[in-house]
Amino acid sequence: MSATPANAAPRGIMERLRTMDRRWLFLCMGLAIVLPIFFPIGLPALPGDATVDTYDAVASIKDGSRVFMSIDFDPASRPELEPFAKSVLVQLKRKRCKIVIVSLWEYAPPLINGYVRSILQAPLNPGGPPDDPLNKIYERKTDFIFLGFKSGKQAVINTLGQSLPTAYPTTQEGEPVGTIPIMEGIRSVQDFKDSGILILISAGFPGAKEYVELLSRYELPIVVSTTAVSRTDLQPFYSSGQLKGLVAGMQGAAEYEQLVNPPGEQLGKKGLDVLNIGTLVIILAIVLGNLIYLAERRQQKRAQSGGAS
Amino acid sequence: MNLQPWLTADVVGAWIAVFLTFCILSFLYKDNPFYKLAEHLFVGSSVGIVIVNTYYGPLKPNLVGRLWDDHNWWYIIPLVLSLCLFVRAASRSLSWVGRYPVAFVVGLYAGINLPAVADSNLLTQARATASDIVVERVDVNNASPGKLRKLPGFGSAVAAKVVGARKAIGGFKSMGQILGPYADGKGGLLPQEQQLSAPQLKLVSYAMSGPRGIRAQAFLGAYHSGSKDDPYKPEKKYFLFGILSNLLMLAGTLAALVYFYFSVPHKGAVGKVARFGIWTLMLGFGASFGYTVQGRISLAIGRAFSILDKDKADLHKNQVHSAYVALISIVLIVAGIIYFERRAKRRPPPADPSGDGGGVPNEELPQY
Repeated sequence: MSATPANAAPRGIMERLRTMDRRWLFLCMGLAIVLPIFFPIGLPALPGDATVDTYDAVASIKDGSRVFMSIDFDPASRPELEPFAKSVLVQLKRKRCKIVIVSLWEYAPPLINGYVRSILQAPLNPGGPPDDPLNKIYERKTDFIFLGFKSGKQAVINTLGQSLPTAYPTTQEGEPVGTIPIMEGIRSVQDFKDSGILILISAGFPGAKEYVELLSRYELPIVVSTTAVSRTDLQPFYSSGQLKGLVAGMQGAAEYEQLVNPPGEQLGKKGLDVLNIGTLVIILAIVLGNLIYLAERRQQKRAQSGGAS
Repeated sequence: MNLQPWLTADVVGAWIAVFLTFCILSFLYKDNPFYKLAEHLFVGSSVGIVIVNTYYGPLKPNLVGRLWDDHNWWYIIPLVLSLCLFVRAASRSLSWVGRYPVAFVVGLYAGINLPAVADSNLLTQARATASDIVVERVDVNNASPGKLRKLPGFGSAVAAKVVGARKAIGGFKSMGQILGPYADGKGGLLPQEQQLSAPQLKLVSYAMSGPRGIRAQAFLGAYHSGSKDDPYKPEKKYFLFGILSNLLMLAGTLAALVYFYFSVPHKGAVGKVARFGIWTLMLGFGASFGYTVQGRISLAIGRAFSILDKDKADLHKNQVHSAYVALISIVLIVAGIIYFERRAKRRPPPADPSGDGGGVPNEELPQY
């Protein structure tokens, strides 16, 4: 951002772009993120096969089944994973499912407690009929239980596959797991095989990949929501059938939100416009960078051939 | 503002979050004390949380509690092993003591992971790659709901409705008819309650065309009722794009493996195959990069939503007013940076110890 001296040779557009202050790019990126929030375009989000499979897997479980959820993410991954977490909890609530929640990430419990308060323990359709499942206030220990955070990474996952009470002898409040009504008859996560499904919301290590590696021998029905970065790691497991469904990144979360159509603000759908425009800016920046590089190389070649002749 | 006591901590927390977000973003201008403040707070609070969680998570119930409360003296062994890890910090000559607990942990996790990874990452993946290359098209008029599910856009709900529709009309006469019952949203061939939801309809409609769309992957065979008098003999038609896709997957996997096979020089035919392997790997890296970019943009979106109160409930939103906090934060940070820069300019440049007049100009290295 320094002034050009008056006697300096005029610079070409490519030269100007090459030496451009990178803060202009930051500004463009900032505008690309803020403007679509105020002026939404409503770009379409057609659910992909992996998202539809996830929705189907959850939709096909019997009403009132017990479901195992491992919520393993921190506030940094909220924008990508929260829309799915909220949508799937609404979907489970519509089916009157009972939910057992665990976490292997130490920053996850405050987020999970928030979802419990705002979705499971709140009427989601206040004007609707009282017998609407969305209006049911979930009772802790009979309709849901959050067993809390457990450190130990793969060791915990491995133990969950063999004995859930060994991995979680007590809840985070100190109650013995064996005395909780919702846990009756549950010895390990294998017991969720017939009655329901395993839903993993995972931002990285330890998470879905480790669950699949350590529990796939039990052939459990697993669906995963993960961050965009982790998609390439988990896609082979979905392609091979080890995962019944895979929802990746904000795009996937927005698609899932469309299928479930939960009440209230749909942040995934709102974020999709921003995501698409932000990605477009990055693509343009990469194309521009390559054009500048090619032009520079051509200039150098010309200079070399000129010097040689 | 009318603060409710149970929300006060949340409200103040949200204000601090907005201020710290702008402190971190101020790094885009240049390194400054506000950024450093946020960075140090982040590191400090993270370490604090980890220490507390580690003590109350694994240490207290599994070690301290069992030694002190249960008097189970066998737990002295893990205590000693844990302490061995810290010997390195006290004495360099005794640092070898720390290798024993590390060896224990490595052995434990290798034992847990090796069989699991070999099964799920190697055997199952190899089996999936070596599956049938031939892909047959789906007969929409006779396929089971399970087979229909393989078509793009066909969830189990759509598959069930298509099976119901073909039974009602005695088989579809054209592909357009699959969408027909849902297209006008007024009933058509199916009762109203069996209509697809708007996103499902859009999805199936979108999936009709394209090289891997429903029209390419499916065909309409003669409808059979499924009774004994009307036996169904499956008609075979092939989905060429699917076969090509499977061949490409197999060739890419084998070529990538050849690239990592270094016992033969990568020349001639082997070199060409290895080169194709590199292209395959590059495609994978490209996909990873694309997804990483999307992930990073999502982070920015999350912060923008938070600053604009889009992610808060109405009650919370009316108490936090993040937009005002954002404005105040920006003013504070900009004023602060101007002040610190002016102060740095007024300060004399550091003495050059070499005495040759070299060194970094004061403007380029602010001395906060």
